[in-house]
Amino acid sequence: MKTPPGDESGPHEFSLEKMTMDKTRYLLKLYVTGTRPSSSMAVVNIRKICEKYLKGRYDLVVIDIARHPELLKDDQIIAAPTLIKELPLPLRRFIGNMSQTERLIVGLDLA
Amino acid sequence: MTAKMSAELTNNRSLASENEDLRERLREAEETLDAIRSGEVEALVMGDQIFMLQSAEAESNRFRGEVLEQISDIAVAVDLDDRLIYLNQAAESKYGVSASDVLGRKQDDLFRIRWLTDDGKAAKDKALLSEGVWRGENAHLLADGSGFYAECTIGTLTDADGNATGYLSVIRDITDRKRSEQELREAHDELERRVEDRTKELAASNIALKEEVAIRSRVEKQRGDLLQRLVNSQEDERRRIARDIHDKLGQRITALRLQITSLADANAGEQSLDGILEQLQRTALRLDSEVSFFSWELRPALLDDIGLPEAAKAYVDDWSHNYSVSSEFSVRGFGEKRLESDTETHLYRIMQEALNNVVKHADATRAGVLLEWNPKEVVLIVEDNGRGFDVTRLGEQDEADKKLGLVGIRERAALVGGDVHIESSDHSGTALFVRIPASLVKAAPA
Repeated sequence: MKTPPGDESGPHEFSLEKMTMDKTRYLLKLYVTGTRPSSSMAVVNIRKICEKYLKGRYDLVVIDIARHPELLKDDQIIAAPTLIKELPLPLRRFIGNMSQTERLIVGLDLA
Repeated sequence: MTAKMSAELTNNRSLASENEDLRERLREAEETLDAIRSGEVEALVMGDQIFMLQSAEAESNRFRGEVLEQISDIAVAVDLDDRLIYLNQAAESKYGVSASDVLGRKQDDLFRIRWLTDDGKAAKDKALLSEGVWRGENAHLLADGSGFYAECTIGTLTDADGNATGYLSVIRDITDRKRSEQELREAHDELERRVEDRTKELAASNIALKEEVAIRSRVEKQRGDLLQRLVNSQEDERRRIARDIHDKLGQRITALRLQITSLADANAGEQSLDGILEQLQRTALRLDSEVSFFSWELRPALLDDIGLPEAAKAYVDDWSHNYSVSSEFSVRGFGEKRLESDTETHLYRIMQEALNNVVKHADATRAGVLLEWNPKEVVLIVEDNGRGFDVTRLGEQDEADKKLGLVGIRERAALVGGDVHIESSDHSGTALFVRIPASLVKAAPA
């Protein structure tokens, strides 16, 4: 699994305990196809939203499905780009270039 | 609550949550279909296989993207919010990041710009606003403290309607070039410093040289003055001797002649003494004449009184008569003018020495002296039709110069600003030229 780059404050490793103790910490996984247009846009858009609403309390993992096809089964991915909100529960799934900001804000419980 | 009721309640709750799940799954399915329809989906996963979806325009975009990927320059694009929306491979490797790690972040997170001039940023902003493009240099600082000098071209990205959507920067690392420029500047400055030092050295040695030259000129002048004084004292000495000879010796000889005459008168008729007395008279006469000439040779008092042309003429006539060499004398351009006393003396002495040489060496039958004063120069020429000699041998360290008294002639000429030139060849006679250029001629005060 790729090292999470989205965390500005802490060291680059997970602590599951920390995850569960800090109820408002988000773990997001974004499945993309390399640096193709929609995928790049998805990364940009998601990160913008995270920076705005979740600064300092999110981990965004970007996974290139071309490089790591073995990870697709874990989250039952059927299309890319796909965003999975793993934490906090409940699990949520979004598909597309993430440009519909309002729908995402609502869907990620950021409002 | 009864058991039946609580069972119903539990049942309802699980139904509600099932419902919720179903709603969620439906939403997801609908969104997936929407995304596919709107072209936002780029890949579909079926079983073990990934199918990439490609739209028609995606093809040309892909090509453009590939071009940017393959250039060695760095390409970075930001949106109007200054958030990164594109990095090519060169950018990833230069800044030590992976694109997906930084897309969406602010450009400052990737690198900070340091401008090389105070108005650098303002100039860039102005150019982007007015022309949509800017080209220039600045420095990029990375988070780890490293950095490089950059040559950048920034262009505005626009949508189909021509509205700005962001900026694309193409960046080249010119640190090496800057370093070379710096080294060149430093080498140039070093060179200039060295040239300046050298110039100072040269100026200093020039000053030293000038001082040396000044000292030598002074010494030369002193030597000249000394020589002049020596010559003057020589002349004074000669004048004294000449006067002594004339006054004392001359008188005695006259007295002797008178006594011999009266002896001859007293012994008139006495045959045995006639021969001897006649001899005595002739000897006395010759003595008188020689002494006269000798003292005349020493110091012609007339030179001071009547001037060079007349005195020279008188000398040449006497010389010619005395040594039986026919002679010619001509003078031109003097008129009523007189040269300064020293000049007259030196020219007179040169002429004497030259005529002396004619007698001693030339074996000539004719001699000529010319004195001329024209606007260009004063000239003295002494020539003969005698034996001649090899002029190329003059100046060699042998007796030739001394025999001809040339050292004395040249020195006298130099004292009055003149120079000496000799023409001669075997059996073709000799001519001596002394020329004083007009600018150096000293006339007697009026």
